Amino acid sequence: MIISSEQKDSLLELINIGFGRAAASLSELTGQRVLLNVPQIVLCPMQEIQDHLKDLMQGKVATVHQMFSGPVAGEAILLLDYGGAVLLSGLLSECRVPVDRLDQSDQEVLTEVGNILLNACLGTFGNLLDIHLSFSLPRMQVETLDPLLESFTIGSDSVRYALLILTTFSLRDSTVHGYLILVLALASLDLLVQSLERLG
Amino acid sequence: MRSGWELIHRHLDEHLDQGVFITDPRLQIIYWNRWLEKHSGHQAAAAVGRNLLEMFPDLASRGKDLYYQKALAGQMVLLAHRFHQYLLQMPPDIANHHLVHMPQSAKIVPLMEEDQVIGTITIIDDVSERVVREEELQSHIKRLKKTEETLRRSEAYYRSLIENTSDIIMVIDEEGMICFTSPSVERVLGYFPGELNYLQVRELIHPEDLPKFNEVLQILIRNPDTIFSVEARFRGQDGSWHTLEAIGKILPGRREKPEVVINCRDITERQQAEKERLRIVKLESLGILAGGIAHDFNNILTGILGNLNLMVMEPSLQDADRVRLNEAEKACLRAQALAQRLLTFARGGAPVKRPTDISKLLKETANLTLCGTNIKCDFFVPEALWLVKVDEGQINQVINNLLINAQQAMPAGGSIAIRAENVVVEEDAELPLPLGKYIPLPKGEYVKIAVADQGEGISPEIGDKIFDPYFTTKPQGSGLGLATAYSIIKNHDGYITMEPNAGQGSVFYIYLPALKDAIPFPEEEAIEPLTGQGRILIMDDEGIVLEVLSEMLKRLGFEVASARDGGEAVEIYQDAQGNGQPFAAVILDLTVPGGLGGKETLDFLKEINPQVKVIVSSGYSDSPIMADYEKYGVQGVISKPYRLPELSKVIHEVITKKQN
Repeated sequence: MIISSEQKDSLLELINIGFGRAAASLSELTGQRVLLNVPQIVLCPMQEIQDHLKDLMQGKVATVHQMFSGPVAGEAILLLDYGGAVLLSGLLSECRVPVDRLDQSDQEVLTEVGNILLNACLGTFGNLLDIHLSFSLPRMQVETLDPLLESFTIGSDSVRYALLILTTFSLRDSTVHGYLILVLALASLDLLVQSLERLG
Repeated sequence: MRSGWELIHRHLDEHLDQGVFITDPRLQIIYWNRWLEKHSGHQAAAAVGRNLLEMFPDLASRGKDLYYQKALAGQMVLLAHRFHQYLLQMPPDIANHHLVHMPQSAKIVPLMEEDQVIGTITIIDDVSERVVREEELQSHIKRLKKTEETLRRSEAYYRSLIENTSDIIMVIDEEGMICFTSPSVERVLGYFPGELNYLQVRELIHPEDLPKFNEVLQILIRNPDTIFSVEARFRGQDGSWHTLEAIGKILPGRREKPEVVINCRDITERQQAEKERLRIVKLESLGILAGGIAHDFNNILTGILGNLNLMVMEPSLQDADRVRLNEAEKACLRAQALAQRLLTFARGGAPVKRPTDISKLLKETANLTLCGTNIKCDFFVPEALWLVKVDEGQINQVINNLLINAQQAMPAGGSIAIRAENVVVEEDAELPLPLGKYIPLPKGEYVKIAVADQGEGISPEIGDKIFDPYFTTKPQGSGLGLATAYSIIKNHDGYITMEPNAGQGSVFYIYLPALKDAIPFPEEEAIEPLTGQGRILIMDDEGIVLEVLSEMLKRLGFEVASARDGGEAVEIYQDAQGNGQPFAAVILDLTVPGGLGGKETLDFLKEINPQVKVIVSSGYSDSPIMADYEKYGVQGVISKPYRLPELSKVIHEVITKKQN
């Protein structure tokens, strides 16, 4: 499936609205200015996602994974490389000595951040489509990238697409890059694109 | 259904280690589990039916009511402890003075019925243990980081010390393999830091020094608590040898595989300076001895030479006898030259320095010394060579010694090159000579003389000993030639050194302080005996000197009175002054053992007659009076031994000299 550049612009605008809300929530929560930027989005079949990610992320990654269901169903994943996850957690936590590993509280922090981001983004989509989406509890995992990506494609007969959203967290003069990945079945994606058409 | 709901309640109460409560959409509590009863202090019977925000008003004041609105809007809400600290105010379950409220993380989940939100479910986890553990871990990490920083600073400090020390810090293993060298290895030995790593330290050490190095290293390995100290020559990157004082000990904490840390200090210059000092001390002690011998020798020679001189002047003497006496006189003159050489050792074989054209002196000496030999001498002397202030006789002796050595080094003949040039020595200049790297010359202008032969050269091993007194490689050598040269040049504030060049001939270098703007001292004219008249008082402790001097003065036409010491001389002089028969001049011996010497006698005589004319005579030429007699109020000096012409000239000058 191919989306036009206008549709892509509309999608980007929509994501930015959601990210704006998420950034406001995070700023309020942490008491410091948090900025979220979306410099780039890519829409590709799930089979191609590895080609986009393998050069950008390697080895251990931290993910916050959430299922959503309703008229539009799929999976949402916040993907950070492990070092980025450690850095982000450290930046969001006051008065902590920087360490190079995630403890349980760090994972909890990242889960809440992921939850805020995913909810804001998917909530914006729900509002657009005027549908109600149900969410599972977000799940935080530290794993290697390849098995994670394979888990998206194995056991699924339907054609699924990935909306790959490059996400940049900026706070305390530091920047952490990550990805928000929305995995959607073709029907759900089609519904989303039609809604974008209506918006346009 | 009701029994099923109650069953679920009972199971939740019995098994859950979490706080769980359920509200309706208006946040009225409809379920409150036993865990909450236990930790919050609120019994279910009292909690159920109450509004959550009324029961816990701080939820709204802390903005946590917002999350219930989100949950009622269908969102999953997660509350991380680190962001929120706690959801419901409850006392901590563990004793920890940091904790005021039970640390919690929480989930607020919408309670759904089909697509409708009919309430909220709140699940609370007590994370006290985790928070305390993480705080302890953080505190531990902080301490570690602080220790790490302290170690880093300490390491940087010690690294800086090692990098900036002038000594070489070297670590070797028990086999002698170099594991580490400090950067100063470049400054001292010329190697790049790290260049020597994994090399065998023994490859750097002079073969002659290896046995003692091996010995102390083995002792150290066997007795790890000891410290070794050894002096050894280490080869520099350019092949030169540096004497290093190495102090080594086993590196602490490396007992399993011992490593030795060695502090190496370059003592090459210190050692050279020490050798220089010892050489001077040796020369000084010899000088005292030599001076004493020369003094006595000169007194004896004065007696012999004076008498020979008088006998030769006898008109009745047979020609054959006169020839023999002349030969005896020549022998005396050679003995005088020998005494002069001995005196040169005495600190003041003190040079009588005059501005001199050294190029002329070099040529005359070389021509005379090498005349009749199979040695050719080439001169390379610029016309504009500066003058030097030297004692011609002594410098002649130095050049003569060097030329004789050069000649003996080339028994089959050859050529000697004599070079001279003007040089300016800068402060702390290091001159590029193996033995002269450290040259104790103050900065200034010098004339540098080089005497190079084509002989076998001198091996570097003995190169630094050749200026030592009595060191010689020649079976018939006295070992005094170069020692004398060294002493003479030193007394001229110059420096002599040599370049061994084993197998290619040796080169001697002499540095003499230059006089850029002086003019040469005029040459002395031949002296003829001059007669005179008047009374002369002589004082000497040596009978033979008194006798011959008296006879020589009478031969010159003077009346003579003699005294054996200063006391007697003063008495005679005073009587003569009182009797109206004053002395025209007084000749005083400078040194009188056990009696009043020349200098003291002079003071008494001056008290009697401030205008007294005094000539000082001595077998020592190093006395300050002899070198600078006018300053002491003396009108003339004469060195023993002397002949009639010299004696007459001095007396004539003194008697005719007007007093200031």
